[in-house]
Amino acid sequence: MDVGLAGTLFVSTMMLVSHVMPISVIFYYVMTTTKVNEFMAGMSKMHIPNKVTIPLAVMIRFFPTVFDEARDIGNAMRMRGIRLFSLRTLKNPLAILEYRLIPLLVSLTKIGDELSVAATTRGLSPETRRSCVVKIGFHVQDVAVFVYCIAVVVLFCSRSVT
Amino acid sequence: MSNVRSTGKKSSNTLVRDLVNVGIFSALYIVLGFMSSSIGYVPALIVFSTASIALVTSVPIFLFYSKIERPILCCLLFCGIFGGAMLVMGQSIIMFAISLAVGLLSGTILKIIGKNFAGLYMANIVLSLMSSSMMLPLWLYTEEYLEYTRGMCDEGYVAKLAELSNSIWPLVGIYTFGILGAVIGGLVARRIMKKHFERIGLAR
Repeated sequence: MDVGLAGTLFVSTMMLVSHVMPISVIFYYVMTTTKVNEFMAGMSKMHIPNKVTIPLAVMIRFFPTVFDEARDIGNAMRMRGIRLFSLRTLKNPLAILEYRLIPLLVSLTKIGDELSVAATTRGLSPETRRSCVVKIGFHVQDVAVFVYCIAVVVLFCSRSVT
Repeated sequence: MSNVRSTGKKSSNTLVRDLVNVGIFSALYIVLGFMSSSIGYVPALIVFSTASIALVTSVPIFLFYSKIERPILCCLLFCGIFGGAMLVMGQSIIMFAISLAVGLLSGTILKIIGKNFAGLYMANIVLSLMSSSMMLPLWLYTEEYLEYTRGMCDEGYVAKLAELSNSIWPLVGIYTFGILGAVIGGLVARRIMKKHFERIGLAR
């Protein structure tokens, strides 16, 4: 069936949405419910070096911040009349990059500097081992979920083979 | 902050700052990379999507390179996180190996040439190879990749991909446009660094 360029675009977008949706939901759930200190405690229980854990923890904390800041900057720019398809940006397409990206970068690096100062003050360093108030461990519940997930994957694979 | 750094000794404080910077910029790189590569959903524009990634991410990458103090460690971690994220989302293990190699190479370039314009420019061009490699499986494992995409996208898109995978020239084009985007983006980034960041003291 030939539906033309717009139709192909629409169908592939919808298919992509339907396939990416479960991953996005899991991603959102993990990002919003994982507390950074618990994440770091769990990673140090798994003997992963702090040099890898600190960037990952910062990244988890920063995904929501990036979107929040981008939305705020977008609102401020809309007030000044700088939109994706306004007259001013159509005249100079690179301006949209400058007006949206530069404030985002400035505010993010400022937040990052404050974060690293605060972390250093609280004694975060790659050499020392942290302690955590919350008890993190691998218990019966975790084993049950683990076995369930593996069973689902095995079932799926055996079905697609036959 | 520059008067604190001038002692010349690398303490663990600057290491923490470096690691935090790696975290911030990898989050930003992943978000921006996905936004700018989304023009690749139009089959005719697949070849140009690498150029748009390289063009948009040049400015954050320049800022990242000029802020870090341990180039090799930070670039390795940065590219490793990006490659790991791609691995989780279903890319091949080759992508992970390529991104580690690219991180090592760009870190070494930064270490040898230094954090002047030439060093940043060349390291940025090398880094553009990483985001261009995302399309590599189409040529390495043509059959499996087409089967995988057939589950995700519709037939028209898959037919266009199969057409692309028949010759080697689109692959050359993808890398060439990625490098071209990095070349232009580097010049834009230099102007923007001079105009904004150096003036308010965020970069030297």
